[in-house]
Amino acid sequence: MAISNALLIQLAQECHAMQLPENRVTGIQGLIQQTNTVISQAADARLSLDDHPASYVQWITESASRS
Amino acid sequence: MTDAIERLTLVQAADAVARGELSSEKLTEHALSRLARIGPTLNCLVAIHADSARAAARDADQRRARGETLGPLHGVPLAHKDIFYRAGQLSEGGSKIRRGFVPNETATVLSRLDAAGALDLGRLQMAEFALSPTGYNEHNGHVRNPWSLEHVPGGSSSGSGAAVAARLIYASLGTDTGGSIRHPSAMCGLTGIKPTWSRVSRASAMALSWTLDCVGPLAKTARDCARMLRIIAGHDSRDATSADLPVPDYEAALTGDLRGVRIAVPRTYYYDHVTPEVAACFAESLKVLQSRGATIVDTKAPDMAIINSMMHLVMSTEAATIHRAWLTERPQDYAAQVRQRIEPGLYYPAVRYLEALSLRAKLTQEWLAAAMGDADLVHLPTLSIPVPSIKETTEGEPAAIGAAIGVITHCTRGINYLGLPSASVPAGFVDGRPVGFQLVGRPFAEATVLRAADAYQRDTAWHDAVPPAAT
Repeated sequence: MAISNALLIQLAQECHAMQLPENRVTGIQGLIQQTNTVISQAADARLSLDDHPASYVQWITESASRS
Repeated sequence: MTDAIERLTLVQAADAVARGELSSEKLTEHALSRLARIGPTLNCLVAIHADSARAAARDADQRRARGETLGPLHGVPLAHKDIFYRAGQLSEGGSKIRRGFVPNETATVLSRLDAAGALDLGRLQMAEFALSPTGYNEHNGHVRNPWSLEHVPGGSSSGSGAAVAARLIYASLGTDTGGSIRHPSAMCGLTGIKPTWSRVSRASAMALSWTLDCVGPLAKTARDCARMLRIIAGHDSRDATSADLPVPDYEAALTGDLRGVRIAVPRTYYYDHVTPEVAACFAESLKVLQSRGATIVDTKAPDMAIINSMMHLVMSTEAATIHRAWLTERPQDYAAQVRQRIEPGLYYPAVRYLEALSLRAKLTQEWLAAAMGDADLVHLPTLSIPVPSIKETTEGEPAAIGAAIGVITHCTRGINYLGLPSASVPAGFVDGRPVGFQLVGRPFAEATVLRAADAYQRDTAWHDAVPPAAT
């Protein structure tokens, strides 16, 4: 089900106190929906309990030490 | 030597000053004269501080005469993207919203260049809030490509690219969140390096996306970049995200010898939009690298839709966080093209954002395993197509412009999510406009990236070519 313009306008208002006219949200629903789908599927397939936002810094630092 | 002054590389100019063959005053007067004569045609300048530059150059010469050489860029005139703060001086980020902003602190990277003896001549144009791969800036006007004034210079470090390519200054700092050092480097015929994320401090540089932003140099050669990078890299207590790892002597790594170096070429995804003329430049570059001893291996890219989605979500969410108050209060002061790239970030759930951050290590390892395999470097296009015109990237339906911009960032934006070091290197010309390829390394392998770029430049002369606007 597509995210409607009306929902995006309401979210902007309720979450960010921002008045977005319809012409500002038209065209971004598709991008938002696609990005949400791709990332949630990637997370379902890969994310484990050991992964967290700081895993990356830890990994590149260890990677530098090894090389 | 006067006629050749602007044709010197950064390293040649710095070494000539160090040896007493050229004075800083002479270099600076020459640069100021060219900035005044050519800069306005390219619209690459925000502000040049001629009087303070002359005073700094005199001081540099007096110090040298007393044997007080400051460092490896003593007396060399530079100028930088208008994104780095200098206490007491305007810093406007290419925007209308930050017009008149005067910071009270100086960016660590500028302080490090000051300590190395470099002179800062002023501020250079950039895309509004660093948000355009073409350099588009509705408020300050289009920066022109020195190779063709009707074509884009690349962005967002557009003024840096145009000014260095036109031989107005010897090098410039830029920032790169999705390709903003590599695009202007490729489109203007320069060498530029986006270091590993966290290699260079971002303290007091205007942020676009904390997870993706990197600071790096644009210059004529890989050796110039090596000198700049060694000065600016390293831990900074003012930037908690900066890596506390030793900084190698990047210039010492430039041996010219690529024996034992394996370079991977992923043919999937990265060649989707490459035109035959541009592809011929890349093929030729691989032959040169091979002739220097490198082994070329074919590989495949993993699913780039995942990596590009991660990059988009992280960039737009972090940018929306930074810009939310201005988007609420002053939406009319953003160009539509810029606002449209930030606003999706208002809508992503926090869970999605944290998933994108949490998967970064795994996805980077997946990319390295597939695209690099057991090689040391990955060779990619920087820009898949000939440099586009200003008209092609500004006129027409928003969807068409968005698609054109997507093609420009096709090969660069994912690298920022991966956080890997990547240099753009000049590889020839198509229709009189430059072509560039990327060399991507493993985390903190800038020395290997620059070594390969330098070896390539020993057998090519694309980086020496002087654009029509420079004469």
